[in-house]
Amino acid sequence: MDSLEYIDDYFKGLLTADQKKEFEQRILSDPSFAEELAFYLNTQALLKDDLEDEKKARFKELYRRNNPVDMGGSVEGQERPQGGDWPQKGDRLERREPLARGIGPVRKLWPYLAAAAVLVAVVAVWLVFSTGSSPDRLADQYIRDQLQNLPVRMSSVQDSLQKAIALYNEDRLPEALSQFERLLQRDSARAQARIYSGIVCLRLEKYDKALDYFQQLEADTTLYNNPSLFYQSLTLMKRNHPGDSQKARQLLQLVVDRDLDMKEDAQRLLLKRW
Amino acid sequence: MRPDNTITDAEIIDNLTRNGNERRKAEDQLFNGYSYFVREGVRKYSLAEEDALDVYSDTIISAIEKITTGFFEGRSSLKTYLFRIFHNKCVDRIRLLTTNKNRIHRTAALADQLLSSLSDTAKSVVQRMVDRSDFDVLRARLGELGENCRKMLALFADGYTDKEIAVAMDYKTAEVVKTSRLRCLERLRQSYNVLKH
Repeated sequence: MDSLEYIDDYFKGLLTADQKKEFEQRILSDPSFAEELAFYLNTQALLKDDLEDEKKARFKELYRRNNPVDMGGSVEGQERPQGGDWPQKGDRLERREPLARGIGPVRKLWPYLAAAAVLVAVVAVWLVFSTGSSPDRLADQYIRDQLQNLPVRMSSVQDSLQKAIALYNEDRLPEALSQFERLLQRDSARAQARIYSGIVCLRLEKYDKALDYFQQLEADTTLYNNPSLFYQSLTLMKRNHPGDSQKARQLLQLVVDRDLDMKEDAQRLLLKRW
Repeated sequence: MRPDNTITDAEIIDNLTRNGNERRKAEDQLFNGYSYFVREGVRKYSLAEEDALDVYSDTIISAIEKITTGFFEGRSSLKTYLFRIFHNKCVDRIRLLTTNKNRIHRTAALADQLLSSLSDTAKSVVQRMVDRSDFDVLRARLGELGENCRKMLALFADGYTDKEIAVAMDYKTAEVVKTSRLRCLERLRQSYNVLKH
């Protein structure tokens, strides 16, 4: 079979498991084949790159058309009118009626102001008398604020850990988990991979598996910083089974009392009512 | 705010997985529907409007890719999904603004992405060759291919199958498209190698 066709079939997923192994073997043993593969990939990447540029140019044009006052002033051939009827952001290109002059608009605002006042009162009452948030919502909030992205090392060389982190940051969680787990299989002492495996499991709502990773981490006495108790607590808050909330509080308290890693975050969570 | 008052997420997704004009229209609808994110990029992440627009365009392109390849599972609304991507990309952009990545790196990164299914050892062999490639020469050779060849290769890179290309470009069968496409690729490879060596 012609090399390019063989490569094409590989990327189309047409090869069997054995053929895929053979494919990888050929990359290692046949430099000219590896070069053809690099050529194939470069061509695909360049074409994709061009397609993206083309789409971006189209989107930019759309944006300029819909937002004539942004991105450097008025649209060619159109001056911004002085009245109030020029389309604003979010108007979806429908022409608005010019606002009536004088007292009219203020009068129209009264019902909204009254509704806003009522809303403020309701929120105030709720804040005074409510019993606080549920632990899983607090955990959600924490995950949203702190765990949407994992730190990336600034380097031109991207190792397997960095690639897994990149997958995580692109929200490709199942792929990130496989990559972190592969790393752990190769080197079971990689604490970072274990922490991240637990975090991905937590985000994928595989709570028991996440707890398992964090407990394994807890047993690792070689670490200078060990956030395992904090993450166990967060997982319990998120799982929120009977008794989980109480156990989570105890663990957070332990983090604070023993001055462990993530102490400040634990303190902040303990201050909330849940 | 939805892309259009009369269009649901499901319809947009459905149209994105079609080909030709319907897909293009759905892409534009998706872009228009949430373009107020650009303002958010300026306000929340202190990006210049030009950068925020670029990030937003990247967001839409990435979402389209995920939707068309079946990676979007529909566990959240399109708006939530897009905002999550947008947020991550804004953070990346802020990091990128402090480094000096150029276009070649972007293309190399794309090639690297395509390699993700290989083992680390095989990947590093190919990666070394990707890094040594001359993208400028390849781009120039690509520009010299005939219009039909370029279009066929571009459609394939955009995720069209040979069968869909056959319909879009009026070829008799998918097999004819595959043969012609690989022939175009071979021609490109030869002209690239002549110039490179």
